[in-house]
Amino acid sequence: MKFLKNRKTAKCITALIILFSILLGAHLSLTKLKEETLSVFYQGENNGEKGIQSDLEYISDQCCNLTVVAGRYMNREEETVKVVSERLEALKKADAPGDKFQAKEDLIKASMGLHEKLNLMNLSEKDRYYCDSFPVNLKSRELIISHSSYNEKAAYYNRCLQRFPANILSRITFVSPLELYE
Amino acid sequence: MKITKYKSVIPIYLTGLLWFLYSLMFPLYRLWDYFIVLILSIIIHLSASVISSRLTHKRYQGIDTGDWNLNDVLLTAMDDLEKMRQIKSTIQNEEIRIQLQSFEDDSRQIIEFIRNNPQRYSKASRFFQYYLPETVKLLHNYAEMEIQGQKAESRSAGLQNIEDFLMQLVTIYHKIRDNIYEDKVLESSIDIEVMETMLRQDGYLNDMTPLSLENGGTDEIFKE
Repeated sequence: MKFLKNRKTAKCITALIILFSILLGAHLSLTKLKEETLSVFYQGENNGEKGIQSDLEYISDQCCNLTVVAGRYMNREEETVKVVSERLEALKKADAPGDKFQAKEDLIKASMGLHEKLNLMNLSEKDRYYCDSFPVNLKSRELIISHSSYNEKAAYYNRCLQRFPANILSRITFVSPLELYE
Repeated sequence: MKITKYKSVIPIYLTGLLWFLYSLMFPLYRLWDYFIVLILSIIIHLSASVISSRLTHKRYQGIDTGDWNLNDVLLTAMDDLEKMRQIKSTIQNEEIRIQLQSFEDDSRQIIEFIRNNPQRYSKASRFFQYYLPETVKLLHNYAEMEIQGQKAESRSAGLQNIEDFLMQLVTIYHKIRDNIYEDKVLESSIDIEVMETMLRQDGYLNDMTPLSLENGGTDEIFKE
């Protein structure tokens, strides 16, 4: 224990502690900031508010219901229905916000194609009502998503990562930037 | 002996601890986070240094040679002096009491000298580590034997032996003290010689005879 009383040893140990603390502190604080930003995507900004993820789930449900309606009037193996089912699966599998956005865009595009086909068919009153409200429901959800502060917060987080010293520390501590929902 | 100015390592470790705790509790990815922690580090380091210095000062009762080991040695020597004083009050023999006073005076001068000139400790190390504690031990034995001797109303040969030895020891203590001062005297005479040479060069001193050898003082220089 006597060597610990040596000033040179103390300075070396303290320098190592400081270095470790810098890396640990940078990793912990950047990860925390990242998690807080991501939570805006999944849980919304305030308690009780819904995030983009829940809106995407709503859109998925709407599209899934459309395939069920389409199944009543056309073959389930038909290309347009198949494409919507595939896009639904892709959205479910998408992990990053950017991928989710792309998967959602593809899903809506495919669903609108299916919706147009269904519009030309002789539908029951109930199914016609569903088909008519489908684009409105999607639009309203997209409008809600556009008001989310996720992109703003993710952009702020990314800007933090670009500034010194976070730009160096994030690389050393393996903290990656966030994808925007766009 | 090489004297290294001792400074506590606690402020250094406290600084490290502060960084560690700060990294656990507060963000550490912006420049001003580092600015805050740096200011806190300076405050903690300075405060800990001051507190540590005050505690050291208190612990060594004002002895601060800059080396904790030497402080310990001087503190022990002062304890020995205190013991010597206590023993002196119990000894009946007036001659020994006078000798004891002489030991005390010499020891005090040596302690003071080393306190002010810690770099000269090597010259007195044996005095602190052996002579002084052994003298105290001898005096303690003498005091005990004297009490026993009075009760028995006869002086033992051992008592006489110690008395004789203490007589010699008085002279030896003087020699030790003088020996410690020797370097200082030599250093002073070198300083005088150097100053004389410079004064001669500057024309303030024309006499060829060194001032240090005549009338024994530098007062002569400023006579006019």
